[in-house]
Amino acid sequence: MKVLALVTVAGSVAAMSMSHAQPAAAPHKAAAAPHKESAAGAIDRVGGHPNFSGVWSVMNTANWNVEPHLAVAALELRPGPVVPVPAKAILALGAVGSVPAGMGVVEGGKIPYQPDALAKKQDNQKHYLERDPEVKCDLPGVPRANYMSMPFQIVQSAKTMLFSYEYDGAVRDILFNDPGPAPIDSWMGQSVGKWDGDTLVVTVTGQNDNTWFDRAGNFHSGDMKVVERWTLLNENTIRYEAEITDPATFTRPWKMSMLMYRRLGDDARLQQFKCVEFVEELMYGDLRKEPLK
Amino acid sequence: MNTNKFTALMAAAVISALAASAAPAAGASPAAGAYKAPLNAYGQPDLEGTWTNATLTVLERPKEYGNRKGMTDEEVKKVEGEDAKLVADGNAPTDPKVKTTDLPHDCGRGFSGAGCGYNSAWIDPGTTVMRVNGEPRTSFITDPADGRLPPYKAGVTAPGMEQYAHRGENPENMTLAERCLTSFGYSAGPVMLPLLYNNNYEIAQSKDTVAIVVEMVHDVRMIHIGAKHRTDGERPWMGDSIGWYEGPTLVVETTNFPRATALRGAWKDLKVTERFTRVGAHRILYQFKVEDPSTWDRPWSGEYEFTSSKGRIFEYACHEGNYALEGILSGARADDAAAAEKAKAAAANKTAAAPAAPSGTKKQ
Repeated sequence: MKVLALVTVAGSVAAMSMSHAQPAAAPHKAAAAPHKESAAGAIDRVGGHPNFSGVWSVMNTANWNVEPHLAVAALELRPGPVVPVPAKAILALGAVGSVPAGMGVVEGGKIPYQPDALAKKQDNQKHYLERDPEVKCDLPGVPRANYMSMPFQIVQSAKTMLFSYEYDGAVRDILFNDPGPAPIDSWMGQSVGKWDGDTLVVTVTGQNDNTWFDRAGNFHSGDMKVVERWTLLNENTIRYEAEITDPATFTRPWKMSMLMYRRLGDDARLQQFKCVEFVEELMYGDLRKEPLK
Repeated sequence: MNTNKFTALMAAAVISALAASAAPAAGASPAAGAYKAPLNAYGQPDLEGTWTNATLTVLERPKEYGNRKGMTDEEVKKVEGEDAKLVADGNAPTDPKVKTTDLPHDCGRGFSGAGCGYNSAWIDPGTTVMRVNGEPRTSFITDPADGRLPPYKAGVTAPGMEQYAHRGENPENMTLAERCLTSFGYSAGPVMLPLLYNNNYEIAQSKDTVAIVVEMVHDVRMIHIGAKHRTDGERPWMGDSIGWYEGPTLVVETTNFPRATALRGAWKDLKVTERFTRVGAHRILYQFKVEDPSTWDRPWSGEYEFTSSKGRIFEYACHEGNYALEGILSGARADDAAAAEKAKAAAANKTAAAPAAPSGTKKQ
């Protein structure tokens, strides 16, 4: 394994230095990307399309809050004598329960909520420990699955594309033949893919209304449509965009956009995070024959 | 569930079609026959697709077949016919006036009474006998010759239900499946074994990984091609699987099994070797060898075929809808409360009946 890992790293370094040496040779400019990003280098291809196979993760704090935010003591606060302080349930975590800052991933900064929906979002945040599906180890839905702190692996061939997420063992299969509307709502929805040049466009529908966008209570209805755009900027970087359409919750469609990075070496191994057993005390502790004191 | 049923029906149709076609000589090697397994874009044997191992054939051979791994046409007719009758009976409407106490003592597949609650529509254990290379089989195990697990080593006892002696007391006392941690039975394996329902798998291949998605409970077996086993002593769910290709065959070797998912009691020194060979457009020959020198004196091995499932695997979100676990624990607490109440009443009766009990002592 070590040997393989070294080979992978060596290969990646070689590819990276190649792309630095030949920026002019970039065949695919990230023209639509809002940030300056490195030009495309030698991207592996399979079946004529960019090969996304590998282990990926974001390096942002979107799972805490997709909107721009400063660091804060806790997502759930209660009034203190001078300033708000962490809610009782979070207090014992100390600095570990606090929220790291982030530039946000929502284009324009704010999610365009309907007035009622905004009130619900704010209430959600106040009660995130009781309501956030992640706390109960529920399946995360899309797009949230893509920017949790844990990585995911794409297994791609000429005809298949499988997304396997470390968190809760969530999976998504990209369907390249549109089967029509999903037979029934599910947690991860139905993902229908097509290629727009070298960009993978995935339309996700059929998600239930139980999932959130983040821990900060940002939510959606069961009618949400997500259109994802996956573009390899270079061998080790993906530009990920998701357009969210959900008139019941938002005044207009809105977009999130972020980078994802290939995990290399020993980090390129998807671990298991079967969190179901980790939440049994939380969910069923009061039903024990002798509940813990 | 409709998808599952449909899948099972389609799989059955495929198996039937296979059975109807002229079977090549029994016991032929995977390489035999004119079929040439396709290669994928990476030059590997292409195993991708959605597959099922639903079948009426079981891991261990029923003793009446003795050392015979093949089934006669008459035996096949009998087994499949009895199953078809069970399905038909199960599909028959239930009289709404019937109470659970009136349910049949035997409704097949080991279910009785209230356990008959599973109508045929809710299960898909397969409707046909397993064919390997066209030959109907009496069991998956082919070695030992009697198609049964070898005897346990001296001092090793077969795992019983002792770990569930405290059922209902705590969530951790329930089975892994009831807790939504993995499937019932041994669906994810390895050895991957079919069960009452949800016997569907999806295989996806990249250059260095083979992923097997197991319908229940959306478990993913990540097989690392060309990797070495981990040596850090950690034992992940479903063990630590590495693989390589041998001609048309994917070979997967799994070690480092966790105790929680022991295979017939074996885990610590367990090694399972699986061989996947595409032997038809809609068939994968699946061969397995199980070794654990601390559990059995000899290895055991067997084979069956996966057949194509029509359609995709639908999400098996188990934990998210696990009202049953809460219900079972709540029911157990209600039982506890009722038992305590009863004991209290019995004690009160006894006290009342007892002559010349000193009064007022409790108040002091």
